[in-house]
Amino acid sequence: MRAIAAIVRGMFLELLRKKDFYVLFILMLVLLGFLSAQTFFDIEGISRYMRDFGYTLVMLLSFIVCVTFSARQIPSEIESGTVYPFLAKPVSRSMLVSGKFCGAVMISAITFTLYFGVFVLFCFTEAGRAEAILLIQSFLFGIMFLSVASALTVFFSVFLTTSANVAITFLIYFFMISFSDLLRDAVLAGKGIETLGLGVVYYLLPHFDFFDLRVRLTHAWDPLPLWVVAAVTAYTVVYCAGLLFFAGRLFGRKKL
Amino acid sequence: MESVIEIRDLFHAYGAGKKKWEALRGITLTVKKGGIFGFLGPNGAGKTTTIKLLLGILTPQIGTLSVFGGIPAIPRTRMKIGYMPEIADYYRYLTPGELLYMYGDIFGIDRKILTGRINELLEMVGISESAGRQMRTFSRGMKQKVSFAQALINDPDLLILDEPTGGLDPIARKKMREVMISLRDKNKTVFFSSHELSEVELVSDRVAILNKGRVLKEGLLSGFLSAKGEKQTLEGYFLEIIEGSEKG
Amino acid sequence: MKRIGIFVFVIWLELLIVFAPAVDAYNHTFLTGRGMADIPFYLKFLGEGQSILSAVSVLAADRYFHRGIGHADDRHEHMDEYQDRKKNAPGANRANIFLRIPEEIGVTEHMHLEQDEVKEIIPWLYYAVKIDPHNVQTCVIAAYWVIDRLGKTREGVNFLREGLKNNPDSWEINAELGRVYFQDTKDYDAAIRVLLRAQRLLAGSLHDKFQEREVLSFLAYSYKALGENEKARSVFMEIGRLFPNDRKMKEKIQELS
Repeated sequence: MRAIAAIVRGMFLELLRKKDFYVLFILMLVLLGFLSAQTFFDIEGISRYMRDFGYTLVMLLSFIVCVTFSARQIPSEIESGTVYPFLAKPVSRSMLVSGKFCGAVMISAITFTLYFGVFVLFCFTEAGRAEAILLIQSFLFGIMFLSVASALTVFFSVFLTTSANVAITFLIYFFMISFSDLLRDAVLAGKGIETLGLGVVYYLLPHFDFFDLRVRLTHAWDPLPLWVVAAVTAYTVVYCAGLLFFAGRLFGRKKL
Repeated sequence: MESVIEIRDLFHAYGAGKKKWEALRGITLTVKKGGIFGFLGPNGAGKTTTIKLLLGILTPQIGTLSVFGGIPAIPRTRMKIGYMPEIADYYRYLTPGELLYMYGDIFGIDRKILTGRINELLEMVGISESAGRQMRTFSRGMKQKVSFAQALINDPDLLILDEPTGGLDPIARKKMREVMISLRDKNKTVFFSSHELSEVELVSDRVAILNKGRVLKEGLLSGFLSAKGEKQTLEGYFLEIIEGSEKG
Repeated sequence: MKRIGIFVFVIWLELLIVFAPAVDAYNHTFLTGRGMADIPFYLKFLGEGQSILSAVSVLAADRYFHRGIGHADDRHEHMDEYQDRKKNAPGANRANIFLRIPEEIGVTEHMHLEQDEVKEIIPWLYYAVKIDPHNVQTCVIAAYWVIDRLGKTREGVNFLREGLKNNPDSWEINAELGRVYFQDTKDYDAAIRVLLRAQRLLAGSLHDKFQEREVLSFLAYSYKALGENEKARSVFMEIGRLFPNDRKMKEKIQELS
């Protein structure tokens, strides 16, 4: 555990000392400030488009930090040679992978918490009880979303270059956010071998769409039922564990 | 005398099919406890592959090897090993102190003891003044010094050094030699590979000469240097052995 | 030689970037007969993409009006249909939590924004017009919501005026301005001025007779409000020619005789 904690601490310091996090934070502040300064026909109390943009911005920027940060961890260790003195210590390769995953989740969670906090301050100055519950659910779902993204990126980083990893992860993200509904409908409507093929794709791809509460939050719908929160949490745990297991196995076999 | 490293008929190849390249072709080697062991060979002789196998970074394909009687691939076996790689661009955004703290933490060293040891090591390698600077601002020599310090963080019983003196200034080299000798005096083992034959000659007790994945000679350094009845340099002896093996 | 080729290509690309928006603006302004729109510099680069973005913005307004689900979406259903589907869904799918999660997370119910909530669609309509100032229909719709539903007459009129500046030949904006002058600001002179212009423009554009009737009605009532009964009567007669079987119109004409 101390090895994992040591990796996480190292990654945290890297986050603090690199510019990415601050640049994106300032970008978010500027964009939110610009949006909140917009007036439309002197009408007061227009808030939903702000929530919509704000939530999208928070998710996207946190995702960018998460993916770009976790994608370069293992390849840069190998490229710079730091992996050798590291693995010469009493740590296993799967521990290194787990440490990188935990670090990526922690960094993403810190980033997301900060960004989400600013978003709430800008867009939810007067939240009712239902909205407060939905906000808590959105926060929780945001952290889970970034955990799955971290696991996926760490998994890809075992055998892909950083740029390929980032590109593929973003592609999967946009595909799932845009077309998972169509894929689901195709699975439901299909028959025989067709359903099997589509089903494999549907169940294997990371369901980033499960974590997207944008519409619900923007348009002030009711909070999600508890069973959905529990099911999505279980999905996150199982999916991340599966990816880390395979990442550990693949990295264990990798010739360094 | 108790042996620290035992290597038997070790074989290792990279790639497969036509691209297969045999890095080690059945080497056998024993390194006893206490003393400085020089591991010599030209480029591509198999030195770094052997070291990676000793550290469990690679797994043996044929043959066996053990360190302190254990399998290096098991993390526990590496508790008493310190390793300095040939080239390592350590985490650029950390300071040397933070790097040593991270590595010390992995070894489970008590945090109070660790802080003291970090200061001691940074002082010893001569970078205590730059301890608060991020390593992205360091020169190659400074990184080598940090690399040497991190190899000593767990007060190892076996110190493995891969080309340790590259990029170091003469003062730092001297310091490194002194540390190696002091470790030998504490009955610890130093295993190091180097191209700098004069360095090896200055500190080693035993040496092994490796070429094309095979151990050509292994024994006491003093024995090699006076093999023909007259004193010769290690460089002369090394070239003679390597050229002989190329012809043969 | 290769370097010269790259240099020529880069120069050509730069010229294209600089002049393409200008050419596009020229097309908009002169070839299509539209007015000179005050488009921000960065939007000029979009060319015809402006229309697409503007349409996307209108779709977003539609989605906002239905609390997150638009008419264009496949999953758009009315509440009763949604409840029926939920009840009658096949057993296997009901048991498959994995397939049910998206249903719960997404929004599938059809609802309309009510009362003050409709203001939430305004930013999208506003942006749709800002992105493509020639999106006349959206300009008119936005003005309707702003003036009639949210009571911001002055702002709505200014918005229409700006729309008119960008589309001086639009009968729709003239007609809408006329309606607002007549109904809301009671500025009958101004109403007559723009409605006459709308009537003139109508002649040269595609429209149906109901649209023409609306323009003429407001024009006639504006004349009537100013006491110019003869002019009002003549406009009513024009409507009567469009709808010869309209008895009420005949009564109005007789009333003004």
